[in-house]
Amino acid sequence: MTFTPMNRRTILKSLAIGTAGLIGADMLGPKAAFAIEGKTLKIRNDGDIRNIDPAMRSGWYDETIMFAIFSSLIQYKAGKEWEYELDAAESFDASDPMAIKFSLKPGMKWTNGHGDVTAEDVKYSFERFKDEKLDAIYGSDWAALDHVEVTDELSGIIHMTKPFAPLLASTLPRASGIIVCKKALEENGGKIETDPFATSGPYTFADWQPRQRITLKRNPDFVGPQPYFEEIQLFPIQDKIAAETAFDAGDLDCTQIQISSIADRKGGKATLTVRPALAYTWLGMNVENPKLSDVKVRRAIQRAVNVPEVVSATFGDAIEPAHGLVPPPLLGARDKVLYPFDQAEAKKLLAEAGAEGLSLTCVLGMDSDQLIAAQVIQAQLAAVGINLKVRQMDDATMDAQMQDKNGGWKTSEVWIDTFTTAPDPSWVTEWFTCGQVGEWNFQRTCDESWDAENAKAVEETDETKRAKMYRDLQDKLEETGAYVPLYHGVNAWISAPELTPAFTPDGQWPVLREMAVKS
Amino acid sequence: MLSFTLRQILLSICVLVSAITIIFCLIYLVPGDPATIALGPRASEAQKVAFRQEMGLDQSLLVQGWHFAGNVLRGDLGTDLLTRQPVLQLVMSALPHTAILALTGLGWAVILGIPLGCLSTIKPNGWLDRLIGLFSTSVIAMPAFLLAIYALIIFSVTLRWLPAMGAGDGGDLGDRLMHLILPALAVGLAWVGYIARLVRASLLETLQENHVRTYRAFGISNFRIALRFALPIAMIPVVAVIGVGLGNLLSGAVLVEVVFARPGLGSLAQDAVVQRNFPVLLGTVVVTTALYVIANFTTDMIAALIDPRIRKES
Repeated sequence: MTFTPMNRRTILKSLAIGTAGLIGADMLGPKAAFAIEGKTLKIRNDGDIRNIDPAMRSGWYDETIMFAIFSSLIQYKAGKEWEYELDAAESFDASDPMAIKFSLKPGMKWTNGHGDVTAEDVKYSFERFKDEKLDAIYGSDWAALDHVEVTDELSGIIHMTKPFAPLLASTLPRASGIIVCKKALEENGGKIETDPFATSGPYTFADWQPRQRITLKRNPDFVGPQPYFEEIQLFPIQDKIAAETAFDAGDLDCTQIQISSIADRKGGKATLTVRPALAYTWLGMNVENPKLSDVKVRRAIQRAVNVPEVVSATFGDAIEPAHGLVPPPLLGARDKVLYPFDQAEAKKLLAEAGAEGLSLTCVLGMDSDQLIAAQVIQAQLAAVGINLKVRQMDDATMDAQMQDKNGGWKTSEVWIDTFTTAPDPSWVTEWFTCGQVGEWNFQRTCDESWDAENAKAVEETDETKRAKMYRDLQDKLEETGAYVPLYHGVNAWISAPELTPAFTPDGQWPVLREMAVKS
Repeated sequence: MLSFTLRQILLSICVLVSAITIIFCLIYLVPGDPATIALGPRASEAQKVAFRQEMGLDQSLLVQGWHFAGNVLRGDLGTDLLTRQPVLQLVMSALPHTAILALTGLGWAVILGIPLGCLSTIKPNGWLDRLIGLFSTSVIAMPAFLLAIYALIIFSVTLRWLPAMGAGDGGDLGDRLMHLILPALAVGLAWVGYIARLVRASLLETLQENHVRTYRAFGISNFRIALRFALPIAMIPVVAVIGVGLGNLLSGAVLVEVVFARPGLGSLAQDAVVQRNFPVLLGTVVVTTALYVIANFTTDMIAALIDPRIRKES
């Protein structure tokens, strides 16, 4: 007799099946008319606040709130294209990559009586990333910063030591570009944790009930366009299925959903928004494991995996197969792989390597999509004579095994992992350098010339040249045989029909300040 | 009674210390680096080392255990690795949600389960007894999470009578009650059946005893015998089970808390495991274990008060 293991995920899956059944049978009927109460938006946040310091932030759950309560010189536009627009800046001139000029909108105020937002605040906000005492986790975002020159109360120039291509893509419009209040931080030890002290964005941080609710209220002193909602309540619900049920019950106006729910939601009452994710899921191989040390064996595995079949079996037509690690539409995304599926070639390579009857273990996290992908790959490798065992474990355990400094990494063979990234290809390639071996480069591929090219790509400001550099870098990774890109995924959201939702182009987080009700 | 009470207190302390020691050791055997999770992938090795030093995670298990024990005695459960909030504050804000859920769940189970058990004994193996037996066995067999899911789909999603998530607004008692109905129903239903079966078995056994026959010989009505003389004796094993049940509900509420996205000790501990937030996990376990021990101590004392034989025997 076999028992299905009962865990949180299986429980929530049952919930999803039940709810999907109701949606399918249209049992939600007229009762399911979503209603936004007054000017309050209730939305899921994928976690509770951990740290809302721009230099030390933890994840999307922090950044969603940070973008609503803080201002930055420029910010991403909500929509489908990765474009930025002015936020706190009245003017912004980045024509010289070594000296970026800005001037702030006049009259911007800090909350809690901390005075006006000035160029001194901008200087403090960016230069603190280089402060050794602070030891900013996101220090590399401002590694090329020389200093910020304050030219008058509201204007300044950001001086760089060298060109830094991600500055306009993933530093200034993201959380590392947020302006914090110099006076408030200096009064409070120079660090923000869960209390922002003073903010200047369209919303204020009104209340936080840990693990229950974060409440933001409209900032009456905000200089830019006033947001639609007077109040936003964010509910930290980690599990998307639980949040989807709360949405169907009318407790939420907007939530992210699982990819597997997309098909059920198409044509439904709720507004469905699906955006290509800035993420990459790949099959990795440990080049230092004796079973995989021969590049012919790794190449055989690359050739044996039919990626379009894996993606189709896992997601149907909801997702496209990946051609590289850099996700489209980012600069440097590839349109084809070097070593596509070729079963005969895979068998030939295995025979040449004398590795017939190879037995490997593939580890992966608790993601159910990854499990399906692994099972398809298992069948595909079996077809060329490789016996693949699939072992699921929680993400922290998996990372601990790969990063084990006492040699635990030696036992790792093959794995499936997903990394999310920012809208610049440098965020993708930074994990595969020699310096990351034993940290996040689980493949343990190391080539100093590759590292040098990767470093040069960050400084290249010509987009055509830079795109080619990243394509070459991915080609070289694929040449090692240790990488099989699988898919990039999507982020899907449902929202009440009367809501005009606003998300970043990858759908990773909602742009709260632009959420509104249809007029 | 005094020596019995002192002995029970001593035993409870031993259970608490042993349980916490075992759990402390088990928690630190779990693979996964709290520093990597707390600081994220972009943190350098130096930043992780500094973090481990700051949070005392670089010390040996023995030293960490010693510090932890000392802090617990001072009422300090440590600091949350992620938000730097005091763990005691986090646990104390989650505790009322779980406690009220467990008490309400068990409370309505007791209120319904005891009369059902008594009704079963009116005519053993009669149609009413069989009907109650069928109901009791069915609800015992039904997992709480399954009931939670169906209740959620029917009452929240389809009918929209009751909320689907959270614990309600702090100051609004009505709202809090509305948020409590479905989770309490889910955690308590199996206990209705369990208590009903236990009361029935215990009451039938008591009704067969010699002293009950004596009451009958004096012409006292069956109804009065059952309620006045037999039920208090029959309740002794039930009270003991309720004590264990309260402890089980405290730790077992996690699944229901997850399904209803409800704050509480269960979901706090679950998140702490995933995030390798060991201080929060330990703090949650300490409080849960303490409550479990207190619940058992209380039921032991109640049983001893009801039945003098227990305190005499011990």
